Amino acid sequence: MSEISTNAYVLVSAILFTIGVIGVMTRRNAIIMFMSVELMLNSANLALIAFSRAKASTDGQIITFFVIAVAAAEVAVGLALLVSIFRAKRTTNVDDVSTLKG
Amino acid sequence: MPFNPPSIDLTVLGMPALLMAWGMLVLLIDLFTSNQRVLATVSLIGLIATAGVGLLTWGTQRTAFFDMVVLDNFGTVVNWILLGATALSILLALDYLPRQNLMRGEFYALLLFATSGMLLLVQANDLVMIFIGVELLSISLYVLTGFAVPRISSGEAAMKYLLLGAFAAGFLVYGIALIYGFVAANDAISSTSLTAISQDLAAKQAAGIAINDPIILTGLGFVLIALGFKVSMVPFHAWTPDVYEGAPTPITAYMSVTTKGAALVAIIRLLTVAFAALRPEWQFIFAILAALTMTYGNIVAIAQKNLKRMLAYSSIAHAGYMLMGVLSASPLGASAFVIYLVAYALTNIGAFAVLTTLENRGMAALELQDLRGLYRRHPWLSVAMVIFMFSLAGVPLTAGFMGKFAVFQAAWDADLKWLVLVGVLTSVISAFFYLRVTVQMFMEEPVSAEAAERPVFATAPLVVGLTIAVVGIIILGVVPSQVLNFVNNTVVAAAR
Repeated sequence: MSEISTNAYVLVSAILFTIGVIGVMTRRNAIIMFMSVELMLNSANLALIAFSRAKASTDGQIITFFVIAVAAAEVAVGLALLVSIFRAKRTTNVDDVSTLKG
Repeated sequence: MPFNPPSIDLTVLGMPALLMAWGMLVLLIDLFTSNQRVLATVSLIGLIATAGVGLLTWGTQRTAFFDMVVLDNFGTVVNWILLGATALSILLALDYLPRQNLMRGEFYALLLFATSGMLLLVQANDLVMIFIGVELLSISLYVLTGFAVPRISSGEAAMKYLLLGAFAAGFLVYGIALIYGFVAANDAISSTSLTAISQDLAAKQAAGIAINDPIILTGLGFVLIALGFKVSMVPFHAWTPDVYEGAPTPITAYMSVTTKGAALVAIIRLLTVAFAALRPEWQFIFAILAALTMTYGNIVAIAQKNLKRMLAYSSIAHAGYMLMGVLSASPLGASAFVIYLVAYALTNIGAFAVLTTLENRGMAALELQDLRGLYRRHPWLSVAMVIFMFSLAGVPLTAGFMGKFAVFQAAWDADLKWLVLVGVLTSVISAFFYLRVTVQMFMEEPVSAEAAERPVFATAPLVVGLTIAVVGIIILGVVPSQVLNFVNNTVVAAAR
């Protein structure tokens, strides 16, 4: 069984990152936007771990733990906000919640 | 690979560590008392104690935790400014919160957590530390922005801030991954520390390997996009007006100053410590973005009717001026940035303090015309506002003028003369909308008899805050030499 090269992993991570970016920019449902952000963060994690293996250095894997922890905190705050907005407006579509303009 | 246990050097991490512990203490005290004054006082004591730690460690210059955190006088000075700005914001919030019915104790704890994230960001010497600092301050600020929920504009602002902030965090992490992939692993210190990056780039350059590789340029670009988002640099500014308008006013005052300051220090360290070798690649692009930021902020501010929105666009423009100091990438530029930050902190928090005194319960937006005839209602308040507006516009004999003068000088020395020209021209444009505020207060009649009778909530803590701001602006504007010398000496000494 031949080994998968680092380039292949990084390429996959770049594709996932691009899908995430496109997701945030085109979708209007806040929950889907959160999922796309998660995709971006996890694609970075994949790249970090691939690089970490290629260099035989553990730094990248440790960074991944930090990223996972922070992403969880961010989503917790995000979902709490979403619930409070949903109570007031009955929608998760970001275009329906736009009173601030100018 | 042998495992080296980390050396715990709490001296270096003293300021952020103490403030974070103090935030937890405030959270604990909140369990036993619901008295806002107690919590605010404890928080203020914590800020002073943290500033005291800076005084104790003054003069020390070293890194710790595998080169991930750095302690130097430059960082300490910026930390003091951030702590001072936080203290002023607490004075603003003290009577505002009960008036707006936002009596929840976590407010002060979150404020301290956000500030400790900023101190960490200022002292970060590693991409991971930059990430942790940015996220600590951001997540706290998302909650603080949404603090006026169920007012829908506050929730909406928090949601927008969070979605775009998380988007920027994605770029930050991917940028870190790419930079980590490019630089060689370092066994002695953290591979992503700014020192390791600069060593690796120097080694590659010496070995004749091209360092302007697309991978590292993309990585650097992504990290700068994320930090530029926090600074609200054009074209990553889109969230700024909405978030500043929707957030509770003391929080707007707080984040418009501190977030920018902390993120700009991270940019300074990133560009001058880690990526000095790539200077030809980033300096020109940054200069163009700074010019765009100044021009866009000042021109769009002219069209604003809402005061908070106007100040939001003006804060975008001021980020542009501070970027001029940053991208000069010299000790002179760094000290110019510090002077600008002091001036901007005093002035902008002061201006938002005036808005705080005028905001009634349930009043979501303060329009420019609400200021009409303020001179009759409260002469001292309008005089203070005039001083703030003059300082924001950069009129001589105010702190704002000294700040602008310093950054223009730094950019001129860095041979960016066209950028100085843009800076001067946009300052002239900005005078138009700042002076319009003055005209409204002194020369126009109130819109209605009811508007002329509206109360002004100039309570004791706010008056203290306003006095500090006004006195600071005048001292820095009229007799600046002491402050200038102090900042120049510390920052230039740190760069040596």
